[in-house]
Amino acid sequence: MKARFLTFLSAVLVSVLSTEAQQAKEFSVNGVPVVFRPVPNGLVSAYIVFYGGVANYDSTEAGIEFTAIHTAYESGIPSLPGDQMQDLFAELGIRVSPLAQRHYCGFAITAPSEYIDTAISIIGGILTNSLFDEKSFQKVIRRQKVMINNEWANPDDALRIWSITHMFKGYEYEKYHKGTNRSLQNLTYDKVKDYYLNRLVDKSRAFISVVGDISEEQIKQWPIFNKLPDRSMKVEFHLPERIHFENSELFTMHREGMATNYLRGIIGAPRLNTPDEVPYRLAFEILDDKMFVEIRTKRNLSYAPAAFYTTVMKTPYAILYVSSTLPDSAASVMWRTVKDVIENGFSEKEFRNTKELMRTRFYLQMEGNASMAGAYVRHQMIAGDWKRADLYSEWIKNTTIEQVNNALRKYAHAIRWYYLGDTTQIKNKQVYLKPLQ
Amino acid sequence: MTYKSLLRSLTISSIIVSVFSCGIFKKSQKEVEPTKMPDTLWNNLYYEMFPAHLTYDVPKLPENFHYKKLPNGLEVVVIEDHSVPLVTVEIAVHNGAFTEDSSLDGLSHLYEHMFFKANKKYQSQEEFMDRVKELGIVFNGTTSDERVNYFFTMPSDNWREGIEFMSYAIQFPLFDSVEMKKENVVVAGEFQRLESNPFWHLYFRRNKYLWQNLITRKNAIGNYDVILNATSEIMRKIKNRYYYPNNSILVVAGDVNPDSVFRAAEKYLGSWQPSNFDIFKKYPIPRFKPVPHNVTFIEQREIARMPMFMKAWQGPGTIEDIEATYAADVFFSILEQKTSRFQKSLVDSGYFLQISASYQTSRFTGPISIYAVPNPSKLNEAIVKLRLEVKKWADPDYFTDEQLERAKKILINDWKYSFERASQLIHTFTFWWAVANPDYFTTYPEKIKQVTREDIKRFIDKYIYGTNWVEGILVPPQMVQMIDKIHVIRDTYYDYQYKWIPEGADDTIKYANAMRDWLFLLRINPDRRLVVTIHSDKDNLNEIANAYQQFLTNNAGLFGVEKNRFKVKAVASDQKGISVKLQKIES
Repeated sequence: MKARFLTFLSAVLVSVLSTEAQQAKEFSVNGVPVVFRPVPNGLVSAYIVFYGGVANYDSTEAGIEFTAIHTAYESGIPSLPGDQMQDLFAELGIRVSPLAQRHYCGFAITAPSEYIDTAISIIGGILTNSLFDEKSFQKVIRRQKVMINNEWANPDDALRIWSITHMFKGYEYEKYHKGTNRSLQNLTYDKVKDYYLNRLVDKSRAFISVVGDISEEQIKQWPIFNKLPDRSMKVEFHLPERIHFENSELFTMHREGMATNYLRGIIGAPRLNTPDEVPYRLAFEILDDKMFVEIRTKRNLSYAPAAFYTTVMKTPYAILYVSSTLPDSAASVMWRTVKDVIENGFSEKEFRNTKELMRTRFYLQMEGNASMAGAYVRHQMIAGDWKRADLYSEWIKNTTIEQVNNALRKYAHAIRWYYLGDTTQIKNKQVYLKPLQ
Repeated sequence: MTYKSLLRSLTISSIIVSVFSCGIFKKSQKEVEPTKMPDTLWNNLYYEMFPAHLTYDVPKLPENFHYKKLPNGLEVVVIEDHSVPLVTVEIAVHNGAFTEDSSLDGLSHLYEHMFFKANKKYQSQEEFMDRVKELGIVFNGTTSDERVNYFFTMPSDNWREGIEFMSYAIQFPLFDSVEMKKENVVVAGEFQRLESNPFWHLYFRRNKYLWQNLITRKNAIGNYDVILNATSEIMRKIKNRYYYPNNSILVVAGDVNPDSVFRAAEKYLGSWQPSNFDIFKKYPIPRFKPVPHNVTFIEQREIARMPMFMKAWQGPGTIEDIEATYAADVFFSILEQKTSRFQKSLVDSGYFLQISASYQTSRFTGPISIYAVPNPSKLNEAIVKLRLEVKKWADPDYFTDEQLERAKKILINDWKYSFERASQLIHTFTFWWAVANPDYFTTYPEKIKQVTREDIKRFIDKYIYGTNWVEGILVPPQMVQMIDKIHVIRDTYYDYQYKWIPEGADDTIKYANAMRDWLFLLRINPDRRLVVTIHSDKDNLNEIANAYQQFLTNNAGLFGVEKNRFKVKAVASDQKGISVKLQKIES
């Protein structure tokens, strides 16, 4: 055992002192698509996920995938009950996280190379032969209730969840993947167990991403590929084609007892995989920096202003975010900053600098196996193409300032503000109702 | 503290609570009052910052680490890692909450913000930020109890410029008064964000009881008023106390050649002037007083949705009891195991939904913490059950040999994982430099393997049974009634702030239940007296206080409580509310 641990660290050290880097590639094993990038650092990260997320269930069952995948993990397998399994993982340095997101669910695994087969074998057992006991179910659902209530107590989480569910009312994203107090009441043990055993695990919706110190041949030997049942379940996300607002609006939620107020301004955006996506992303990267300067550096209206284009939604949108005791002023400065850029464009200097910054961010993401493997999964599940994770940096490099300016003018028409805090601090509502164009 | 928990620490203005282990009081059994020492004596007890066992000429370092000490005392470490074309440059300083008395509360953190502003070369924050962007720098800084660190990550073609850029910021900050005034507000904004989170209030109040008069030494975020009134002069005072090369370390990690980095460090930071005095002899760090008695409190917050529980003790520090820090890590790694008795008794049995116990390694006294989510339907039982469980920690059969060995493997695995990402490893390394020394980081697996059952027993006897605890529960108002205060607070010091405000002498009836609770507490705690203080800006304040005194007097007989054991005081104040204290009667 000791020798194996040393192997793990030695491999990391040998790897970091060399500059080997190999490209990712895709292959299929028994019908399951696998993306694989070799990195010789003694560790392997693997994501085993199933497409669908909130599109797999209706709103009365919101949270069911979360409950199901966590209960399966908590329960373990007949030869290794959950508590013993988790202790074994910890002892061997195997890190496993059950995942249940809007678009997919499954497991994220990282292990020293010598234990990755063991880890995959046990996780394969959970997917196909979980004990799925009622005691674990009760434990998970109690925790889940506390989690969603604590999220609601946290103003950042509360604002994010509220704005998304409100914005996508009537669509898939109205369902919160961790559930609500009401939907969790509907989740009985039998119902969740049935969901896990007969709906969730499905070869036709499976995708596996592997990054690390392992060979393609070794991956192909994993027994999991022969065990997954094929249910050929169709997944369809019912979502608006894109987010677009012609008029600015303000929605408020009053909350007592907070020392500051929280604002999210939603702005329309291009769809993923369109020519405007990358320029728009760059536009909001630059705007993020401008907000820091305008809101924080120059006017000190907030500790934490931000602007970003979220590409982790199938129907993406852009966000202005700020917490402030002077919400009218903060919103007004944010509005003016975006409007100025729409009218006058970005400068060559800020455009060039932001590209350099994004290069750093890109490599930071590529620094760890798990981070890389997760990026492939996100791009595949949300935008339908894992290669985007590797290509994004190149796309940004090739983008011109004209494309960035044009994209902003094309999509940023109005702001829909969501406000959580003391609503008496809104002294001038008109600030929030001004269109951008 | 495990590496995993270290990585959970927050960015800018981290509220990481580190702890210094004092071990200055001697108690071996639980429920023994700490040795009484007059405050004046405590005020003259100080820690030694660099005892012999934490000093070194050349530290032991892992294979891909390279070390050099410049003539001005600046330590330079290069962590060579060519996996991606990035370089992270970090400077860490022995500064942070531990250096702050009440006049400086939160100013290490404000200083950290000012680092990213005007300096001799980049004369405004705009110029500073322009340079950040030109070099493609992702930057941040954190202030914790025992370290302030600044770090830039950038493409590897820019690392030389990155070191040069950092050299100006660390040596020549301007502390422009206009920028200062603006930044005060920004830091206050950061403070307000914390205050908007209900858990912060539980955490902060726990710390007030745990660190008492030296809370400022464990409160990196600081005091609102001190921050708002800070001046450029105070910033210079901090610089002149702590910002010297011989009190700092430069670490460069990533796609670099070590010799080139050493040359660049010499070029850009070789002329940084060292202190001409012994910093921690001139500005010594006072010792923490032991917690004088067990404390239980209830934190009621409108914005809380579910209960949250915290319990804490003062633990060891690397200064005075370095061996106990390893034992602490191993013991809590045992408790984290799913098959441990701790998890079985408290979580599997349904008292808690989640529970986690940990020790945070610190140079001085480090906190031992339990964070838990109680089952809302078993609040009272959960708290009592936990107390009983803690009493079993030192039992010889509380954990198995297998669990002990597994705990060590888990900690060593965490240590190995920290090598995966150079941009993160650099923070881990400077953390250990700050709370102990580089050797602590390098030899950690070896030391962990040596921990024995006896070491763990000694740790528990000294730091768990030998000291008093602080525990608190956060609840939304509608859950307060679910807490059987009498049950939960039995045998504990009772100190509670009621937020509701008495309106007049005739409304005592509204608070009758609470007052009966207080009388019952007096009955079961014959060695205590009750002091109720009513804070109000009402004109009829004295009348209200008299009414409360009268109510207690009228009901005292029902509980068999002598009338000289309670007193209601009136204090004219804008801070309205009632504070209740059950104080020990000194013989």
